[in-house]
Amino acid sequence: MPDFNDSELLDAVLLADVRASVPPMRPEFRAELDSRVARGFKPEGGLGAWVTATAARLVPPRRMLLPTMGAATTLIVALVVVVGAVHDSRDSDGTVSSLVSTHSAPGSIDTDTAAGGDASTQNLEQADPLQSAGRTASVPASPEASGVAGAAAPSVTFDDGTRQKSAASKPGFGRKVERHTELTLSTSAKKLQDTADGVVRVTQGVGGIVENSNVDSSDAGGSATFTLTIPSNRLDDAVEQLSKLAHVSSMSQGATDITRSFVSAADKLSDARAERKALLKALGVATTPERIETLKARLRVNRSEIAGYNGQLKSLRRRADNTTVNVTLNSDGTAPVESDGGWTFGGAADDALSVLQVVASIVLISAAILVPVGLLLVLALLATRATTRRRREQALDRG
Amino acid sequence: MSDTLIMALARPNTSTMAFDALYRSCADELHAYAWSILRDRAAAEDVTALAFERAYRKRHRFDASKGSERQWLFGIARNAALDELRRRKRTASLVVDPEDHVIADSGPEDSDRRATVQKALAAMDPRDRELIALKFHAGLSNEEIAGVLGISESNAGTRVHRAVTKLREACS
Repeated sequence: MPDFNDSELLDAVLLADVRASVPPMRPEFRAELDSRVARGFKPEGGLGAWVTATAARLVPPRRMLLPTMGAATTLIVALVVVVGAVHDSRDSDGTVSSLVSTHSAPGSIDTDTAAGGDASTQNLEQADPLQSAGRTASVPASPEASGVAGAAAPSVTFDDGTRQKSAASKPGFGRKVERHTELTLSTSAKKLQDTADGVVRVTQGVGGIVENSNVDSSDAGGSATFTLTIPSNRLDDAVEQLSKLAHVSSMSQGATDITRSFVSAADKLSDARAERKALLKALGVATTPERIETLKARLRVNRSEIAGYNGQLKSLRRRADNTTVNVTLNSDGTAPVESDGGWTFGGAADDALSVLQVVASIVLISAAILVPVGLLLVLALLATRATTRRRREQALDRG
Repeated sequence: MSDTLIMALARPNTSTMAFDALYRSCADELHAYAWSILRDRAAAEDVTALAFERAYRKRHRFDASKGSERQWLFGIARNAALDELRRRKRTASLVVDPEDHVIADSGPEDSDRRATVQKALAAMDPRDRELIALKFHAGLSNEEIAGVLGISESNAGTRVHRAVTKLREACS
């Protein structure tokens, strides 16, 4: 055995022995490695072999595929969200979105307070003016409000969750609802007159009447107001056409239940007619002049009462059959700029601002998504490297 | 390795020549180091080739400020060797049944001594055996060994000293 106590000899001997303990590199392998190094590790066999080797080198190992695919999926989802958000933001500039967003007042159904009853009010949220316009007309009155005893009436659920039994009013009397609509349109000064003409045209087209109108137009702008009477059964159509004339700044719709007044007037008319029959019958058998005169006096009063009740009924029926639509037309600069094909510095500036806003939105949304995703990826990369390092060390420990 | 080579490695236009020089100077040591970890000729050759190929492809990313090119090359080889250990999952059988290596005989006394050293190395903890390989085969300084293993220089020196002491004791 060698003497390992001499440190200088020990180091030289130990070094030589340790190096001798390892088999030398095989000459064949050495030659092959020399060749590969000389070729720059390009594979033999031309382009096909190079492509195969490159693909094999570039394709990640199986353990890397899962996180890579996960990250790719995350990025795709993020892109879809960004694109969707941008698309939505563009849609919000559209007419339909503006129509919904600019409703200033919700519609309402008011039961007839004029009749002196304990009227109740139901407010309706209006998501879609056209839809809600139609809905308003179909809402039946509550029996409490109408004062008419109903029997086994179907119920209607309002948007706020309340349920009311629909009216089972007297046979022959349907729902009587008076509706009213306020519509504010905005347009450019140049188109004010055209839009005003359009309002009249639409009104006539649906068989309505322009009760009054006032158009104040100038180069700087102007305004117009219209009071229209539209057949209730054409109201939806009319509102739809009016909304297409210009930008809808605001719209409110309401409905007042006048069934109770109608029923009350009808009852009184019926009573008056019955009284008239009784008076005529009594007049037929009256013998004394005084009696005859008294009955005639009462008949005159009765006749005027019948005429009055008839008038009331006609008025109520007219209120139910027609809807008053107040249209206000503005051109005060708040209307959206409508391109007339010409180039203006202001229009270009607005366009540039819009583009910048969209770009800023995209950047902001992208950052909101990509920054956390990037942080997660960095953390995942660090964790992967730490795990790989730990596993390598574990492999050495097992060796 | 000279400073000229370090600078050449850092420059893409001369990196191929610098890499060739590095290969000529380190090929045998790298192979011996890989064999010391894997104790298998074929695996050692695979790792040696893979380490040089990776180093060649990453030669433009060599940063001289982070250590010598030998340290960088043996770091690559170490990762490749450990990955090979993980991949093959035949570590236990290799430890139990290492490849026989016939030591060149230079005399009966040398033969006995080297056989003793070989047995001692085979019985050593793999980490100690790696330190011996880095010190005796690669000829790395403690600073370079620290860089390869990702530990401090003083820690590397302590570990190397302990490993050499264990080897000496095992051979005594």
